[in-house]
Amino acid sequence: MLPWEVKKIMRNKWGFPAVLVICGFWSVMIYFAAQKSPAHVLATADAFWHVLGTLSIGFLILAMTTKIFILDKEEGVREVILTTRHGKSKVFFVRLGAAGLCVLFMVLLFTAIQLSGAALAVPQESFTEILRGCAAGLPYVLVGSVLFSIFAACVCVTFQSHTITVILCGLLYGLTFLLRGSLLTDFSIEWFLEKGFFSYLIRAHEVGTEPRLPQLVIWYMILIAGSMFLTRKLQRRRHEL
Amino acid sequence: MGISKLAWVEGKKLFLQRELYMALFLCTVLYAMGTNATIDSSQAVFFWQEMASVMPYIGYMLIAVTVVVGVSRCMPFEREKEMEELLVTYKAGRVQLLVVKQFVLFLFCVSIVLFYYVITSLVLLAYASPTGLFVQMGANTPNYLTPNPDWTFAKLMILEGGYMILASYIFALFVFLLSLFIKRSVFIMLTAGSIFAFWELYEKYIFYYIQTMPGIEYLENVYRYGLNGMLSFEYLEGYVVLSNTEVLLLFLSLAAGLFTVNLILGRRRINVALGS
Repeated sequence: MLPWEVKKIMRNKWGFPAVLVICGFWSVMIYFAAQKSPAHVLATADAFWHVLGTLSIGFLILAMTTKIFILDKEEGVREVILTTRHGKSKVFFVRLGAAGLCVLFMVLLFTAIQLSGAALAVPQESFTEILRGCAAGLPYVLVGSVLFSIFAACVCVTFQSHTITVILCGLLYGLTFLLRGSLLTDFSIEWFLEKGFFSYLIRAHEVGTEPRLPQLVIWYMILIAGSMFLTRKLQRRRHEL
Repeated sequence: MGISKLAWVEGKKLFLQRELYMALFLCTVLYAMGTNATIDSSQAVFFWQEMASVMPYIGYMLIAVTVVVGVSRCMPFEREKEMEELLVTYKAGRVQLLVVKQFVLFLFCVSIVLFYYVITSLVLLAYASPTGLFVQMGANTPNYLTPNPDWTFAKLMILEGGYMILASYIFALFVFLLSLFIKRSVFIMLTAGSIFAFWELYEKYIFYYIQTMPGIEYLENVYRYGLNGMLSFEYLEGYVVLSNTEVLLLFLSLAAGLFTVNLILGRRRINVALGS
């Protein structure tokens, strides 16, 4: 079942053009940084996940992986899925697994794009520094992306609408770019809105030096557990399990 | 069906989307927070000065989000409800429907802009009284705009409101144009949202990385004179050589142009879709 679901996600026609656009942007950014100085290339390569990577992975999660959670409804086979032997419960978890795998692949692909762009523009010794920075940020990016795909899946199943998922998750995800973190009071609503909806984790830059990291980890655990619990509860009430 | 009844039905379709209210709720919370953040508690708050500053500060972004969410389902509604073929049998033809849809979009933009001004005034009432509407601005000119200091706040608010309505309507017509080429509403939303977000990010982040690029001034002009520049009041910030009246006239002509293009393309598209 898992390969089928992965195939469904990968068949999405938005994936390839999005990756091409990202490659194009990244080449332009690296090229003009290289025109300035090697230090500039280092700074640009280090900032891949700051804007470009974060937005791209967010877009792909919302456009590609989340879509399989609404595919049954769109293709009119929802009732058929409900009559299967294992019910919707197994399908849901298999799809979560497939979404997680695809997100993992996307993050690794973007990391490869980031590193190959930088490798062309910097000497060997500087590249090691980029590699070290990339390795330090990668766990946060991976965790943030996988958690975001789970959250988006739960929202999609709860509301049974891809449009609502895109609006809700897209707005919450994009808040990091609107709010000014350094001016926020700890644990205020703005603080949670800025740091508590995955993009802050994926940006990786600030989260490494975040003084409130343990509290942030607890918040993410509550958020994911809460959304999973709510989704399962709603599925049970709708007799989908 | 008469035009007024058609407009009523189209309006109902547009305003009764649950997605729209979800986006509006989130945007309103953000907007209220953004309005609050612009107020410096150590200084006296001038109600109308703050009122005029909030829209170019954060309001235009949230209006853009609301417009994208609302408009992206306007055109694919019939297709998504599987009644597109039924439209072909419509006696008055597709042109009338397209005219009415675009007219309803104008009403939608007016109500969204007014809604955000109402929210601003409600937040600001907690800090200051709304006096001095007919007083000359003098030294209290708002941020992000460069109006004539001899103007009264009333004149400025009329200009800002009118400008915002026209700019958001042009943006709405652009999203409508996109919806003639993309089938599903969610992808119209993602595409239009990405185009708007890209230029905002270009101005705030990407510009820093590519500022040495030859021809960067052309990209700057694309932002300044493009949809984002229109919505973010770049035309009133003194970069453009046109007077305020000329800017409004230019916007009216642009809206009329887009309206016509949408009519022509929308009319042709149904022939292509049905293979005639």
